Amino acid sequence: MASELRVNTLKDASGNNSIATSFVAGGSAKAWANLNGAGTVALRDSLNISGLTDNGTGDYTTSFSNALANTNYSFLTCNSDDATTSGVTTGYAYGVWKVGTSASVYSTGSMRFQMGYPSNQTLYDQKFVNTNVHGDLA
Amino acid sequence: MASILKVDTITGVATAGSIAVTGEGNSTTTNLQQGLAKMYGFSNSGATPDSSFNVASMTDNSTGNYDFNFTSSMSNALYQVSAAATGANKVNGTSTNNTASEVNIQTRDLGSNTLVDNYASPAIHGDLA
Repeated sequence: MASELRVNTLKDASGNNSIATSFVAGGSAKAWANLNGAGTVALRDSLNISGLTDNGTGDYTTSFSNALANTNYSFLTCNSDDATTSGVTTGYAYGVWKVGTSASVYSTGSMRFQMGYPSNQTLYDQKFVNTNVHGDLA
Repeated sequence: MASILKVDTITGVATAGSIAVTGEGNSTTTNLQQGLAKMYGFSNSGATPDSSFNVASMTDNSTGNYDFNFTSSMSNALYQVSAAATGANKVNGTSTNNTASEVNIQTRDLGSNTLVDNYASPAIHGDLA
């Protein structure tokens, strides 16, 4: 049977390690994804991700199943690629926000982002793309 | 009225490893277990974590190349990794060497794109074993 517990604070049975339930909700990642960004892009595992779009080389959009409350959420990326490519170091790239002001780039329902190598500032597909989102759900 | 729940373990009713938490908008729910970070670490030496959760030890593989070894393993190597370096022009990245029991972090200099010793600060989300 489904049940609902309404409480302000959680503590362990000894009364220690107190944490407000607002921190439980606020501190939980609202979305995350491990995806293959090279070749045929595909999600490996995820939370609250309904879709993945390949916009071009090193350019992706992840759509959220449940929207965020606003566009002020935190978005982190961490990536790697094991391909040997001329002019770049085999290893990993860094994530950047897409430069632009369009709401479709950074919205409550999706997040568009790009990947590029630091050394040549060129967008590049990444085999292992990791993202997570912290913020308020709608 | 304020309320406090004292408990050591919280378990779902229908599914032990799945508990819904109402989000900030007071309507949508998010999965508690899936949203929690399963590990985090911070190290400025590459040999030992200065601060951590679910980290049993570290391995200094080589310059700018570190493993954070988990106390409790993940269910697979498909977990999500985020990491950030500290210092000018330094970045943290993960690699293809992650396993269910350790995450590999590599730190590079943005200018030279070479591995360098620096702060490593990863966190992961995914399924515990």
